[in-house]
Amino acid sequence: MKRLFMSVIGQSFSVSRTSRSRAGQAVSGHLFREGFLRRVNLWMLMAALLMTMQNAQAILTIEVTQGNDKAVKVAVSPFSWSGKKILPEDMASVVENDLRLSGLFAPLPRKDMLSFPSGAKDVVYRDWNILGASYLVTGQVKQEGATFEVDYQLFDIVRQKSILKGKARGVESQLRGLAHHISDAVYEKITGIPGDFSTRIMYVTADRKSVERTDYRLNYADADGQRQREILRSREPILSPSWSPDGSRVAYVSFESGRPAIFVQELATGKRQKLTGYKGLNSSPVFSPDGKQVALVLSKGDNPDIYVMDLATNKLSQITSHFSIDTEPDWMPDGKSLIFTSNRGGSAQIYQVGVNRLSNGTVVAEGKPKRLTFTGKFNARAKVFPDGKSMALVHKGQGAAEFNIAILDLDTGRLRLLTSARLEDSPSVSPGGRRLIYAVQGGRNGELGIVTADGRVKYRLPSAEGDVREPVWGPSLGAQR
Amino acid sequence: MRFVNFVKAAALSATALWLAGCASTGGESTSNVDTAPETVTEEVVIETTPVLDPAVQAVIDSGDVQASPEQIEQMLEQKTFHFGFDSSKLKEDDYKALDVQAAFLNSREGRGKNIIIQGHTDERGTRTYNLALGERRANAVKNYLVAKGVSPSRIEVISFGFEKPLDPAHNAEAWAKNRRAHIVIN
Repeated sequence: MKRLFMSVIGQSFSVSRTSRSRAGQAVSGHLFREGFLRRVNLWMLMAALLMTMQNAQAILTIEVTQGNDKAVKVAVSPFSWSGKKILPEDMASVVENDLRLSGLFAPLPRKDMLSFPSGAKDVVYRDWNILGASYLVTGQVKQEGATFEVDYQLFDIVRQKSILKGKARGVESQLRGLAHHISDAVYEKITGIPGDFSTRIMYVTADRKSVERTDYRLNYADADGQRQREILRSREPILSPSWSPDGSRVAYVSFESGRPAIFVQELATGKRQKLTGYKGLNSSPVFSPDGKQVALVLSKGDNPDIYVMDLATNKLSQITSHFSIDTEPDWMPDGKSLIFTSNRGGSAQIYQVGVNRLSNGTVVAEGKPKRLTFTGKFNARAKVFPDGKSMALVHKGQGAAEFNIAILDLDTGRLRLLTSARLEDSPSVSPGGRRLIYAVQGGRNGELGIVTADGRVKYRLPSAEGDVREPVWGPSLGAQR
Repeated sequence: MRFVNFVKAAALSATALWLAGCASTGGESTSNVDTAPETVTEEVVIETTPVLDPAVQAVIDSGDVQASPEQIEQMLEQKTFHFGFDSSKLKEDDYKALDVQAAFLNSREGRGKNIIIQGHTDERGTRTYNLALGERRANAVKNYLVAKGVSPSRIEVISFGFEKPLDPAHNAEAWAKNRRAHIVIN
């Protein structure tokens, strides 16, 4: 152990020396920084080593497939750390990665940095200006007992001043969560829009061993693909998972008994309840915006229609009644109408129907369903944006067109294609509406894709466990991480 | 099925012994080969007298289907029915095979049996839309059998959408294989 430690220090010296010679060109005479750099580099290296170990365990990896050439340059200096042990997470790199994945920012590589400031007193604006950075994030981590505390700051390099100062506190297992919180704060300060980094994604992995056997898992993870946790494991299909609005419960379809049934499960306790197990389809559960009802699809052995289940009374109300396929419901943000897929017009298209909850828990449809999509041969699985002004859906145009993710503007009726891979499915919008996650089926293995709502930045999240599919973006976690 | 297997087995053993017989006429003979051909030839003749598979016999007895025992045998074996893209329409050629299935299910032999019809789709479109489409395919088969007199209470329909492809490849050939309804007789 000691020998390993020494060799790490040896490496750290050489790294530090490279940094010094560069730093020396820009700012001469700052000799005190050398010791500081040496220390920081050691921790950085240790953190990097730890990260590699962690990555070996991580199930989802991230590959940026299309970047933003107009991204704002931001520098996240490695956080200083005064604890005795190694800082268990390289928090600065978590923040850096979040900002990169937002699509708006291009983080400055660490190797290009001339110094690693940890607070206002170490910031040399001229250095950062030369490097072209518009913003700089610094942080200091301290430990007291089991509690870690981070003091972070955001600097505007052009105006040469600190524009945000904050503290975040938590135990070791929350360090990544604290880093995501810092990313949210930084993002909001610069853009004026709340960040969506303290969120989770849920998805299904399917490991096909043979024609007879596939192992399915329902998992959730941080929005950056890390900290994966398992919700359910089965030899039979699992699909169409959905989050409760507070992120504490999930609903999903499981074929574990050989037939489909809808379950609602509490994440903290693992306790679950079978919501429906009717003859025929039990499909596409989705919580209402107030969390009190679940819209779902039942065929009861006949043909599929949209229903709403009241969770307090277990009362089931039928919303649509048509001999065609009605499926894939989603709630408008005000909870006063549902959108769904129907082939009643001859091909799969999106419709909207008003719903009204009566005082006895019954929900009734109001008026006739109204068709919302008119372009293309196939429009399905629509998910409404949080502002209710547009929706993401799976779209297929005429002829040999593929199934791709598109956004429909509900005011103008204009449809905008976002992606262009083969066989895409299951779009889901992030809480702020700035990013979408979706499934890509057409490659060797099913992968997840994330695209910014403006279509500028795309990345993929392949899984080490076979196919990954059915992604759904969870709500903001707020204080609980 | 049982019938066919038996015929195959009998034919095989007969062939083997016939070959052995040829070898014996070729000259070098062993005591074994000398006596065997006679007995076995006899055996084959006895066993190929039409002892039909009870299922096939039941279909013939129903008088609902006009076809040779071999054709009925073959149609009884057909448990999978294929569909066009985004379609739940049965194909013309499948009606006769389904008539045979119905005749069997209505016969004394098949009357006590319940069936599951699985609906499957190809991977194009969304998973949840395909769950519904798979159910329509299975229902198309169910409705036909019900029209032919099979009680709906004996038929369960389960759609798997494209969760269980026969061929996981992403091409037209695989898609055609995967768009299917499949009958499982308990």
